[in-house]
Amino acid sequence: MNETEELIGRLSQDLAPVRRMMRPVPRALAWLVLASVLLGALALAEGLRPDLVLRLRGTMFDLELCGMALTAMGGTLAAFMLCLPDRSRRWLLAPLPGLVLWLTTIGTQCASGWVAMGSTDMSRDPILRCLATLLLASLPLSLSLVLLLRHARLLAPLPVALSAAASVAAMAALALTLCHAIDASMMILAFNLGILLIAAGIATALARPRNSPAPLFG
Amino acid sequence: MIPGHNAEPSPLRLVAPAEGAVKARELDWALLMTRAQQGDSIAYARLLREITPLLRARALRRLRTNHDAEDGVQDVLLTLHAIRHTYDPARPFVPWLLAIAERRLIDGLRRQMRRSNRETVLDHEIDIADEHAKADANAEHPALLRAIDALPAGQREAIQLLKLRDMSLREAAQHSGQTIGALKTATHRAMTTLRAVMQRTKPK
Repeated sequence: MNETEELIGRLSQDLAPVRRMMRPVPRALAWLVLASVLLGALALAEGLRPDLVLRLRGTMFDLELCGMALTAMGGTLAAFMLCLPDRSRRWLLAPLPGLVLWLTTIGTQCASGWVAMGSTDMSRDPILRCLATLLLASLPLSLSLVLLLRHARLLAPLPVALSAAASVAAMAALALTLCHAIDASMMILAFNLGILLIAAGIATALARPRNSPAPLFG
Repeated sequence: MIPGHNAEPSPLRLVAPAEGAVKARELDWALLMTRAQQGDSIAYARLLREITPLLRARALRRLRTNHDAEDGVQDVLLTLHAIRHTYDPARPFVPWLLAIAERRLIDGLRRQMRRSNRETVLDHEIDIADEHAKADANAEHPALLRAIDALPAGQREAIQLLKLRDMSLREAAQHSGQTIGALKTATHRAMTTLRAVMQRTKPK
């Protein structure tokens, strides 16, 4: 008990004022706006896919984009909510409706044989460029979320990591779909799941609670 | 009628005294936490002291031993300190505190279980230790303690915390205020010195 008393003395000694964290909804919105600006810049730099206007007339494509956008919004909101100790774990469900819509539309398109109909011409859109777009879109977003949600490693690392990963994967897939004509192939599904798993793995590794949180302060 | 003595009970009286006291205490803690966020160390120390019994009760419920429970309390206090900027004064303080406590204590419980899985009960065969080795260890013990006492202050502290009190590097760093790197260096130097001293004192 003496050690606890000693710790209290040490923690309260020369206590520095802290800047209170913004509420989660404005934080999530601010991040979404910044991420959208980044993706917009990326789309401008890469150039939008030539058949975008045509594709936007298709219901499945629109639903897929809606699914990605909803997943990104739900995942971001969930991550910023779950990184706070006193928010409900049910926020983890927030990205699910978007995720279901997104994955279902990809699945349906794959099943309906878009690739066989020749809508995807991989020779015009080399896979390395797609990978570059994915990395350019997902790395800054992942890193910024890891930075903004870093204290969650002491509280609920896995739910936060999964929500953030869903959000980043959806954002990156959105960028990929707007810039590259490779939708409706199994490739995009593999990419998206790959991004989600890699982002979750990295975030979980970084989010693993330490034995003691001492290095966070001082 | 005497003013203030109505036949009907006032709304305030409908609240049980204990409940009122709890609410007042929670409001008080929320206020202290808000002041702590502004850098008021007296308010912060008072808050941490007042919440410690509540945390200790929670920790004892989750963790088996007093020692582990006290470690758990300290872990919760350290976590609260590290994320004190996440407290929103518009929200109640106690659910925020208890959510931190629950998550850290569950983490502590996992650590405790991992540790107990690694520990094995020594069977009686090992208890029958080599008597000569025991005698040697006993003979060396005072010499070793004298050698530790003779070390420079920094090295002595590192050895005492890491080897005698069996703390982790991080715990020792917190306790001593030294960095982990400094502790590692001090321990290495101390071990080299001690090894040399013990070699010299060993009977040929």
